[in-house]
Amino acid sequence: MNAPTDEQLLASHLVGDPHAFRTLVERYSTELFQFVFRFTNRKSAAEDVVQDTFIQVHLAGQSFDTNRRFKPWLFTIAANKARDHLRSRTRKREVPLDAQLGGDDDDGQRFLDLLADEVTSPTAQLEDAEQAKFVQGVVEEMPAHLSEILILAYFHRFPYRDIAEMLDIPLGTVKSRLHAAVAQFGTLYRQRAGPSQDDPG
Amino acid sequence: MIEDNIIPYILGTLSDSEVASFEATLSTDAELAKKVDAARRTLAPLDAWTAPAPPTTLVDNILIQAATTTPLEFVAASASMSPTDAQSAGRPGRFRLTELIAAAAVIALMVSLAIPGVRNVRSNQLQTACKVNMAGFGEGILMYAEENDGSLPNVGPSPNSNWLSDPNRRHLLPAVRHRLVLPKHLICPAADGTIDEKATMKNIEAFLRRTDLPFWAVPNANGPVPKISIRINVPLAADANPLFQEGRFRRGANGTLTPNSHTHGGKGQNILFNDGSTRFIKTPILDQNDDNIWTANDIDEYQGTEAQQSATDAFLTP
Repeated sequence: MNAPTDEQLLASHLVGDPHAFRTLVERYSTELFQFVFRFTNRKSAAEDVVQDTFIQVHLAGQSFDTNRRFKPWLFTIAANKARDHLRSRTRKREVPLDAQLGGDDDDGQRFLDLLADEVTSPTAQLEDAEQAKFVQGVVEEMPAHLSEILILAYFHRFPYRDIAEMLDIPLGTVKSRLHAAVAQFGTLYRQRAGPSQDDPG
Repeated sequence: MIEDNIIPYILGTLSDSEVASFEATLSTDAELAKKVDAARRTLAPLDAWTAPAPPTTLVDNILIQAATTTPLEFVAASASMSPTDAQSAGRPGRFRLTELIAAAAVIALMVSLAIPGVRNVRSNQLQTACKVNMAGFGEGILMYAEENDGSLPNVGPSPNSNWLSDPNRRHLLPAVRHRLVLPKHLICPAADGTIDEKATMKNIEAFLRRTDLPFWAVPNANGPVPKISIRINVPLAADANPLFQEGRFRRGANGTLTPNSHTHGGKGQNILFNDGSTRFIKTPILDQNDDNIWTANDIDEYQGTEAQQSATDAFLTP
């Protein structure tokens, strides 16, 4: 027998099936925790946000639009709560966005232009933990709306249309924003790596 | 455009048919292959960024918290439970008078206990929903500022504009058009319910000029609105200003004003600050300056051209 879908589980939860909610929590708590952790960079925040997210699902399940899919809805709630958390913390350090690169317009600096440079790992000799911290530091320098889309696309493999639904932005904006995010990640990574590391020769 | 599919191709989020089409092009287009390779190398370092596993207690904690938090509809359902739900199994459909009276008393007690609870839960939910929308608004205008050299949408009175007839909110138009601020972010469900986003987007200017929008955006300034970094704790938006909500444009005879926005039953108001934080505050008086966010200092009567009276005088208008 196929496992029940997320939407079926939510429907069962709403009519009082106590196991359905547990199954949903078990199915998504780890992935959601890791999403929020990357977004907030704090375990305690990730734990709080995941708990709050599921409690909101529990409380507001009736408002779920059954024409939508559950997972993007769940991540939308978590992303909103994670943003609230970030706001309540000291404001994230802003990197002045290149107006074109950061913009959603097609005439911005193009992702593909930036890929002309080599991206050499600066940290081949670093331990895994250090490398993880290095990458985390690069992503943290990015504006929240770019790091968010990069995390959703890269680590959670959401397709464009899901991201559009989650962030409530048009599909074209998802594409340009994700390209801007990848381009900025590459640029910041190279900058942090320094010229000596950047030189493939 | 085929290049739009480079990243989804690498991430494996294209459909089977899109993959087939992309790979067909890839096999004959050396330039595209080079770009795919470059994009792979750009993204590759992200693999190193592993996230920890959640605490083993997380699932249990969520379930315990959920078990002690009752959804609104369940509270309402229990409050309306009928006597027949409570009757004994041995005598279906039959009551003694004393049982009926006792059941009625219990139900009356339950209803009396539950209804205020339901009202409070509902009120808190709406308050939170408004706060979430306002937070979205805050995020949107901060993103706008990021992309505009740190400057928020430029508002302020001028000889030719009157914020009563020509709301300051109109300055949000570029931010809304670029989808940084969504119309729903300007709607407080406690006051207005929901809106049709698509229909609204077709006529944003009219929407922003609506007189019933609950958020009264941005403080009047003598000149452009300050950049986001110059001072903390500057209120940028709030629920509706009671001065104008009451349909009058002057304080009472003795200079008094209903303290809080009516949007949340006078309990307080959500306020968006320039660091992007949103707080529900039970008084309109901020900080040690005794500054009331609803009024320009020392001005009792409003024509629509008044501005804040000093750099620290917050004043929230339509």
